[in-house]
Amino acid sequence: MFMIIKVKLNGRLREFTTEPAERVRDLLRRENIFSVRNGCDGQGSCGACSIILDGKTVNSCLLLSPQVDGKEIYTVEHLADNQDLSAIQTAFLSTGVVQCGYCTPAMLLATKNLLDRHANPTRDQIKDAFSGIFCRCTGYEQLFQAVGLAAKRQKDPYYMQKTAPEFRNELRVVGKSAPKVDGPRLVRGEKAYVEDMVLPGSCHLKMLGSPHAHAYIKSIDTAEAESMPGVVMVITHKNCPDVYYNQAGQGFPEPSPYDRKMFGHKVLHVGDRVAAVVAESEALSGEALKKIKVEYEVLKPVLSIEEAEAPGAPVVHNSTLEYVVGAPADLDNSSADPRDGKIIYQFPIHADPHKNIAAAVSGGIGDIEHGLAEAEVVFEGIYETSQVQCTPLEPHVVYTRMDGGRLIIHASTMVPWHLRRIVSGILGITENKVRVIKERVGGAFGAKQDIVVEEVAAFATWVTGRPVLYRLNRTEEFIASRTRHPMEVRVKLGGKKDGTLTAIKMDLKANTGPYGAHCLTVPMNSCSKSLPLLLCDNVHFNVTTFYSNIPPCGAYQGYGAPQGSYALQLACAEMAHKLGMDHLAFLEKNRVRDGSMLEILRCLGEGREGIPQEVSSCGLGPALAQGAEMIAWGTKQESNDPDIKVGKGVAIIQQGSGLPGLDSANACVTLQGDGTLMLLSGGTDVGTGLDTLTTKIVSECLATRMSDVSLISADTDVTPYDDGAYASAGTFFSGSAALNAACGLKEKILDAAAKMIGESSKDLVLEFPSTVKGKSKSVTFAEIARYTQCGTGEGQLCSTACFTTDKAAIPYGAHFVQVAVNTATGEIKIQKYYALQDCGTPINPELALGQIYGGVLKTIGHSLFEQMILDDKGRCLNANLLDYRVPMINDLPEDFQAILVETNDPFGPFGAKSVGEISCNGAAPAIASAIHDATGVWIRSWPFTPEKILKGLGKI
Amino acid sequence: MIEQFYKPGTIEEALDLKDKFKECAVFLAGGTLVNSKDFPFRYENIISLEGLKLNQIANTQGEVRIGALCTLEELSESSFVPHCLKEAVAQVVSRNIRNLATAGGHIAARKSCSDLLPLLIALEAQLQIHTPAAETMLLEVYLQTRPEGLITEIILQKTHLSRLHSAGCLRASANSRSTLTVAASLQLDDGVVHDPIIVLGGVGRKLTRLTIVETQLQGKPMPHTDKLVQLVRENVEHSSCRPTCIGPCIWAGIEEDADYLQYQAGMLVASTLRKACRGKGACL
Repeated sequence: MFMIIKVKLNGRLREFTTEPAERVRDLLRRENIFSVRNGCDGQGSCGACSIILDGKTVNSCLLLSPQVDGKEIYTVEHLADNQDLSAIQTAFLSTGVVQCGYCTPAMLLATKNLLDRHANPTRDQIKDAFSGIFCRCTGYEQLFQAVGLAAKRQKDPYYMQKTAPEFRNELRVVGKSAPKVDGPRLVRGEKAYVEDMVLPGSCHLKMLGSPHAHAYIKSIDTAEAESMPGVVMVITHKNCPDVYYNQAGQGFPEPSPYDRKMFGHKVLHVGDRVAAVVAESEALSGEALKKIKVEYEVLKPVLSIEEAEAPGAPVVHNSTLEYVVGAPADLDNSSADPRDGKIIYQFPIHADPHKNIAAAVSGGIGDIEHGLAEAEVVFEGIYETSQVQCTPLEPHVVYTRMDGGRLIIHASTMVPWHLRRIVSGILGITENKVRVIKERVGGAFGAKQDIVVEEVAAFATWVTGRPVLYRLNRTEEFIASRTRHPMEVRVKLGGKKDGTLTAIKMDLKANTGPYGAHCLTVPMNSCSKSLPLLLCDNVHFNVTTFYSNIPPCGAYQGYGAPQGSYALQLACAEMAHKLGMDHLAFLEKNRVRDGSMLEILRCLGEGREGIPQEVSSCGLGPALAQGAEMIAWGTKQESNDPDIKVGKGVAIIQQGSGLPGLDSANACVTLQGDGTLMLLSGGTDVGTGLDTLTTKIVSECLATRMSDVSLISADTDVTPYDDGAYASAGTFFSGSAALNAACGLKEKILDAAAKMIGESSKDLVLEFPSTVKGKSKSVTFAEIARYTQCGTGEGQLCSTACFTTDKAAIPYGAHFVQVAVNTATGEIKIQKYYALQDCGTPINPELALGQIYGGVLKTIGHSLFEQMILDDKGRCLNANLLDYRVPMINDLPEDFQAILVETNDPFGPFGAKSVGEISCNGAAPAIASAIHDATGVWIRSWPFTPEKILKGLGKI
Repeated sequence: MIEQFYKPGTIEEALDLKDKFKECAVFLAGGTLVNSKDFPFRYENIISLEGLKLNQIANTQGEVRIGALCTLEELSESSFVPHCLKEAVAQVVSRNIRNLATAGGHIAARKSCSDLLPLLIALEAQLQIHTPAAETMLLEVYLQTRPEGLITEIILQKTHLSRLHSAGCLRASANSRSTLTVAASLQLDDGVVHDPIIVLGGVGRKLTRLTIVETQLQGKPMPHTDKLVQLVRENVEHSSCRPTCIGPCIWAGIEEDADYLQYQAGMLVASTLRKACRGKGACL
């Protein structure tokens, strides 16, 4: 039944034709109000669809359109006055609280509503205002500053305040706060994400997921679905491309095995692809899915490492094995089942799929047995981690269409070029026939390093010629995208009585789930981002990764390091305790330092020999000293409540800055006719501020206003190649590529200026803004551009540059925690969390702080309450944001501070190193050691639930 | 699939529509449950209650009368609403939800892990229900009998509000559903407990009145916490402390084991009773 409702929308009376079932969120989006987003499919748990309805913030997904008849609605579109942003919007940009931007409109409306109620809100009032809005990126902490600044700017539009510390006084924009270059678009709620690009008349793709964790498809009948009017195509294992591939967006040749086709004869997890329907409406594609008849031969699922390695365990991949190079001499495929298809290895990763082993590796330095033999104290512990979901607020989504015979992919991806390579390989077409446009990404966190949706939509478009939207719903995002690997890590430490480590042994088992994306590299990273923190002559590691039938695992911010760090750092805490030594003193004695040689990295390459590194900069010393002072390390806090015990903990952490010898990035800077600059960067900004970083670098290098540098990034048709936004590569690789390109252009500008003014280019310098100063005179970039671009000139000045390196710029950090544990209930409160991190020169200080807050809060989540819960059939019981328990603003530590510890790395651009992923590595070990300090209980598996505390205390 | 949206102007009209469409229609208050994707039922006819103007809060000499369509946020902002009820409302953490969810809708949802129902039972709240004749019944009776009709008001007797009250919950994270909810009400006379009411939610399909515990506390000084915990653990059935589906798709405690829930129920009841005893007629 159609009906007409009247709504005062953003100050204008409007009439809308609607149906009773239409949600207000959908109605508004239909009316081009793009700022109302969808993160929970109408559960009401994310708040991304917030509107102000008659003066109150509500979730528009929970409202039927007739409910707003006669009412007044405000969305974020009303905040700006044409080109002028409101005080609230500028405050958000000034404080760096906009990252991916997907929740930003909701946060802005909450702020507007809050300030309408309270001119100077308290911290509790601010928490209450944002209490229903989920943000996975920022960690919420900077919202307090943003609201405070907005309140002041509402009274005085020109009010300015320092929102983050500044670094490198000699530099103009690097190390200083500046609004995110994509910020204005995001705070306006403009079209920015894949879902905003969908043209009318596009088809919708929906996936029939397997109800079984492990089963063969005995028969599948799609005839009835295909006969429905409006159904364009049904895809199953019978008609999909006969191509094996891996969905991991890694550099070719990938270490991840090619162990899947688009659709398999065998389903390997609940939610695994069975059939896809492409239809002319979303509702129709959903209806058609119900008409597909499938008969399964159900197999016993494998759900844990223990089950996977048990003798006689069901075989997840009873496949025929092939190697591109390096096939083992004893390769035996006699027991393979043809229904399981093939696994193709680009090179050996020591897999044995017929024993459920997806990958294995071992290595070390020195002599571990000798190290243990000379130890005076030996400690051994086993640490377990549970499966954690990335939960980007924007689920995986892709929009594909044809244009002039070429395939256009509007993607929410971290890896545009890997995406293009993988899709073109599956479709059997050349890469020049495919264009990937990376739109704004509504949260990625590693999950979008994989090609989870893109190849199916691309295939449908390529075959049918029709534009196709494919967006996972929240349940599918939980069970069919990517998660953090569950791991079991046995750590053995040997040491002298004075605390000197003589031996470190890590035996790590990981559960990769049904497919082998990242099955070697994530578990290896658990070792390579934890072992080099400690200086020890005898180190050994074993890594074994198992296939199973749990939801797929893959990349998640930290990439294995959070698990490895939890195990090794907590083992250090236990070792110090066993030695009777102060934990901090133990870390200080054994930690890495400036100039340390990290030989262990030689055997921790990704499927090939790694590169040993000399530590080029290390801020661990000052981080530990400052953190210890902040938290008053060594003093015991007491509570008035006898049940409450207070304890302190610490962990040291590291990550990398891309992969030396593997990663590469490119950029191009062009001088425009008026002296402004165009930067084409391959770097993929997934909300972290990479576009701002590369813009700043070019602006700094060329003495140009940031506003005179425009940027296009991550478009495979327009911008040069970049591996993508993973392995913490953005700052180091994409930033260095931009710097190299800018330096190249600088030389050309100086050469041109030298000719213009008749002086040697060696005597010329750049002078802000956009001017070359010589001894006799100066010329502007505009004059140089006109000189070079005229009919007698040498042409437009342009510099393209690449960045590759065999050097590492390793970020370090120390996290300090104070917890209060209620020994009667097991409840844990984080009273203080101080994250001190060395990211070299923080190019965007306020955004770097946001990266730290966000990373820490994510991992406080998995330390305390986040985990996927499966039943004995492999079904996820909490596949939604509410029951999975994502951290919200009221989960913040009472005192939460991120501190940037400055170093100047010789290899990073302007001394910069990465900051995002490392932030995920400290929470679990620091909190666990603080719990022990408070209660005497070691918690050796995350999450640290009250139940585990009580069991540790012997209360239950 | 929703086909019709009705917005009656009177209670009688609303009841007539419900009578006409019966199981094919549902009353819609705020919509946080009925419009949620978690709601397992689909109705062809929606009867919006918004036009009934049941959103007044009245403070008379003997009662506080809360219109069923008052939102939870309106409860938290009203000067007439007792403090202890505001504290229970605050357990619904999301402001966006509190701005939509109504008191009547919350009661009608009958969730075992409700944040408000235990306290309302402990306050001996009454409901005004139109069936279509106006009828007043105790909330506790309403939850047991599931009568037809429409809740129009929640009535709190001030004589009950003068007692000591407290509510509490156990939850894993700030915004997660409560695993356990508890409310307690009692009179304390020279340290002796009189007429205690203890309500526990989350450990079964329905809210549980811990009547045996109440009886054992009656006329005695409040026992030590350990004794209280023991008392509750003995009287909360182990078998009810298990993963449970309570009401429409609302479950709690899926990963916790029964021993743990039983223990925490004891701790939560004990801490809630202790908190109530520390109060000074907290609700007034």
